[in-house]
Formats: sequence, structure tokens, C-alpha cells
Amino acid sequence: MSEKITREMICQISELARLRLNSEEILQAQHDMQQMLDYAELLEQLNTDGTEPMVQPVCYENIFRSDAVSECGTKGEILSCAPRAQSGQYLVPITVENGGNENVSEE
Amino acid sequence: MYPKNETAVEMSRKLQAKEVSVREIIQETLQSIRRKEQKTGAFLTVCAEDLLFAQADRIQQRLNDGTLSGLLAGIPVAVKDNICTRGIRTTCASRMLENFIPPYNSKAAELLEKAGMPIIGKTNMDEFAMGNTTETSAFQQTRNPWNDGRVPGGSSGGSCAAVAAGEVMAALGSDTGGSIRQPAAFCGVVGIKPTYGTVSRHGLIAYASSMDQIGPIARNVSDCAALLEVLAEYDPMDATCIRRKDTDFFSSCIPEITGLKIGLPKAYLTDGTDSEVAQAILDAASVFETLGAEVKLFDLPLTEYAVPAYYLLACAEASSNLERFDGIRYGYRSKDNADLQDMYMETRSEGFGPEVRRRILLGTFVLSAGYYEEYYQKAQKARTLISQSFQKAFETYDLLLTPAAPVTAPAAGTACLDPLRAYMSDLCTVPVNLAGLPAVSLPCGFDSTGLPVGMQLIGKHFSEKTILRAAYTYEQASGFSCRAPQPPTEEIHMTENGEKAEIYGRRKNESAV
Repeated sequence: MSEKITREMICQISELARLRLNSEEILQAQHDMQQMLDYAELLEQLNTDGTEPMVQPVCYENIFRSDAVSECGTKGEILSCAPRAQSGQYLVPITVENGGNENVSEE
Repeated sequence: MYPKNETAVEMSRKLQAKEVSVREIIQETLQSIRRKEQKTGAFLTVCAEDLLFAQADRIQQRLNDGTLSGLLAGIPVAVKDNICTRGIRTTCASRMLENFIPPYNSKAAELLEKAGMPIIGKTNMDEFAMGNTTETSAFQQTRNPWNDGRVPGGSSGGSCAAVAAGEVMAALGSDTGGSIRQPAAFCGVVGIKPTYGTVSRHGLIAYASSMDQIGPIARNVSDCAALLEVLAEYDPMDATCIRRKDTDFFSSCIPEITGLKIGLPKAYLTDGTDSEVAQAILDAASVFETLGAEVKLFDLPLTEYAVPAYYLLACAEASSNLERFDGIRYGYRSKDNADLQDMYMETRSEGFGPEVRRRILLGTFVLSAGYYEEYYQKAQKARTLISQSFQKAFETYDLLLTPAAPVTAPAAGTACLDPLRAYMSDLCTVPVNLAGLPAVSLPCGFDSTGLPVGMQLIGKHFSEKTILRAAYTYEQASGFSCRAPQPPTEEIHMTENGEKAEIYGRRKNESAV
């Protein structure tokens, strides 16, 4: 029998995933995940003793490259993608104290 | 728009012979998109005409001064909207990236530029490539050009629909679990998922990195081969990209398959596969035999474990990959948040759609302490065994022939109702991604309602040339790939009370274009 998914588990997982769910969404997520894990139970029938887990399918060698400086976007171009930036830095909500103000924080 | 049966490679030859100009091709392509797009809904962004013409002039100059040649020089291409294009909005069909304009080009976009292939626009897709109908797009529905009540498949549904509708001759898609091959089958076009590592993933917005591959979509096998040739270049920016020397794929498009050994795995024809689809595959097998191949039915073990293994692994990788969407450096940010944690939560909850959230939650769960070994690592081990099962089959067979999808295109609005059922319909394609194999999807017939059926040819690692040779040989013999959807015939009917009712009548889609 696959893991029984509880409301508490969904709340914990959504916290880890940084997703906010309302009551209805929690119920739906509980149902969807239970259904998927029940289906995934099929894998228990497969004998995997002594089998190495596969991380990726084709290249088995480490790839090295020289640690050389190459061209990339300028600071201005990159910051222009940010929802909020100021003085050449990302602008984010306050991180230390509670409050509604935004302060400048270097990412 | 394009002359009947003219391939992109032939069109490029005309460009290079100065029989037609790059500007004219761009103009014609834009007109075709304008004419058909309202019905198809394949594009999320069509590039500005003046910028395209400026680009066309630069390409024309390179052609004129002899610094540009190549199989597809001057041919406009549509690009799936998860492939970063410098200065062109790239949304992944998500609110999260609705206004994201990449400051850099993906390697694929860079190679298109080098080949003199203007990017005409960006195509609709399932949000973050999560889905197989293109219905999880946050922005619009794409309709199947063969029947607008049907989905185009997904996640590269926009690219495949654009090619099928004749809006463009070629497009790029990406394939993590079948996202090129399944919509290609539903739309009656050709699509290739290359061997993992053949095309750089640099600038492809990641879904499941160990399976994601960019690949070509076109109306015929040789155009696909030519486009793959453009894309298959080693890139140090992707550590999984492989240095290949055998990338002259177009040259493998020759009609000769005498003695080729093709295996027909039984499970792909029985487990939930529609009888008309199964029959079309058996008919294709007979064609291959007639053309000189040896075809045998055989048992390919472990097929039934592929879908659960795939979804556990893909969702795990997705949950990790999508952590980067935090509202700070790029993309959507929720407004008026109390603190940083609140901003993360609100940003991600508002920015991601339901299917993406569902997969992130599942992935987070299987990677969390206590469940990692039970689910994630078990799926990784299943992946090893599935891959070994293919390797064993390739000791006997050169290629495997299967359906590209167990059914033809389902009705819009029906496939997303039951997520698990939708996941299970990926059974023909996900095993290939787990094993990193190359495969092509190409048309092999029609069902009784006139919808295209697609076959899949799977080869061992780096066997694209064998796949292409077999696909090309079949295509030349069958002619299915050169057909295009019949434009709907508008019929006016009167209802009982005398009101005019408009319906679309449709002949069986048999006409060659």
C-alpha cells in the first residue's frame, strides 16, 4: 500500500515548495498525489536489487572546461529582467524585521 | 502559402538561386500567419515586421556575397516559447514569465541565426512544457488544424500546429516525455527527438534536465533532418552536450532499407492503444516489409513501469528546476507582500498554473526526507532497467516501430480532466526519454474521423541516421507526410425556426498539398 497522504503532509510539502494552497486546493492536491502514488506503487513489483540508479542516460564521463572568462550579459541587461531593482541591485521586501517596506538587498 | 509539395530545403535552394528573395519569403509567411492564426492559435508572439525585414536584408546580403549557404538558409522558423531568444519575449506559456525578455540567446537560437534562419515568432505550449494537449498554457488554446474541436497535442502543440496549418515550414520543439513526437502525430507532421545530448540545452528553460531535448518539426523527414543538422553542434555551455561527428543527417535521407531489422513491441499495440491506431502501425509494418525490411513482433519487457518512473523523476527534477522562480531576479512578482517568505509564496502561487503546481508538489514530496529512496531512487533504478531492456532489444533489432501516441487527437477540454489518465497516455513516448534514445514521429495514416495517426521509430543512441533513412523510405513510399489539413468548408444550414446556423463541414483529409 502506498503512503497515505494526509492534509498535514500536503501543508508541509506546500510549505517546502513555497506554494500557498487554500482549503479546496489542499483537498485536490491530497487526492491528486494519492492517486499518483497509488499508481507509482506498480514500481514495487519491480526487483531493483543491485541495480544502480540512473541519473542521466547517455554521458557517463565528467566534463571539464577551462576556467576562462567569457562574454555574458551586462549587469544592466540582467538587472533589467528583475521585477524591481534600484541602484544596480535587486530590490526585495525586508528580510530581517517584519514590515511592509522594501529594502535593498544584494542577491 | 507554399507551393504544393515544396520542401523547405527546395525553397532554400530557390533563395540561393535568387529565384525568390528572403523578404518575399518573410512576407508570405507573415501573410499566412495572419490568415490562419485566428483559427489555429499557434503563436504567442509574432515578431515585428520591420525587425524581420531588417533581418531578412542581412540574410539576403550574406547570401548575395556568398558568406551564407546551407540547406535551410533563409527559411523562417517558429520557435517554442521555452527556448530563450534574445530580445524576443519568452514566456513558457506561463504568467510567471509573461513579460520576460531574455538578455541572451539559447544555443539553438544562436545556431538558427548562424544558419540564416529568421525566427518568425514564438509558439504556444503547455505551461513549462507540462502537459500533452497545450491546454495548460496560461494564455490561449491552440487548435488542431485537422479538426478545430481537437487538441494539437503537447507540449509543443503550437509548433506542430503552425507547421501542420502551413503557417511555417519548420519549427523547434522540445521533448521531455514525448512533447515533440506526440503533437507531431496529432497534427500529421514529422518531429524528431534526438539522442540526449545531441542538441544543447543552453537557454532551454528547464523542465526535467536529464530528459529535455530540443528537436526539429517539419512537414517531411528531409526538412527535419536538415534542421537537426543545424541544431546538432557541440556546446560547452551544456555539460551534457555531446561532441558528435556524424551530424550530416540530411545525407541519410535515401530510400534504401533492405535488410533493416525492425522490432514491433507487442505492449505498445495492446495496452490502451486504440484499435485504429494499432492497425495503422501494423499497416506501416507491412509497408516496411514490402520495402525490404524484416519486421517482427516481440516482447519488450518493463514497458508498464515507464510512465510511473517517468512522472516521479520528471516531477522531482521540475520541483528542483522551478525553485529559481522566486520573484527576485526575473519573472513575475506578487505585489504588496509582508516579507520575503510571503513574497515567495504569493509569487509562486499566483505565477504558476494548476498543472505546474501539481507537479512541483509531487516532485517536492518524492525528494523529501523519508520518501527519497522509496520513490525517487526506486524510479531511478527502474530507469536503469528500462534502459537496459532497450539495449537488449537493439542487440537484435536496428529500429523499433511503435505508435507515437495510443490514440488520435482527443477532443479539446477532455484530456485535462483526469491528470493520471492524461499521464498514462504518454506510454508510447516516455520510455524513449528515460533511456535517452533518438526517435522520430511521422504520419502513417488516418483514423475513421480523418485525424492523422503517427508512428514512432526508435533507435539506439546516436542512430539518427538509421532512423531518418527508414522514415524517409517509408515517407517516399506512403506519401502521408506531404498531406495537409483540408481547409474547412463552411456550410450554411437553416435551423427549424429559420435562423441561420453556421457549422463547419469537413471532408476526409485526403488531399495532397
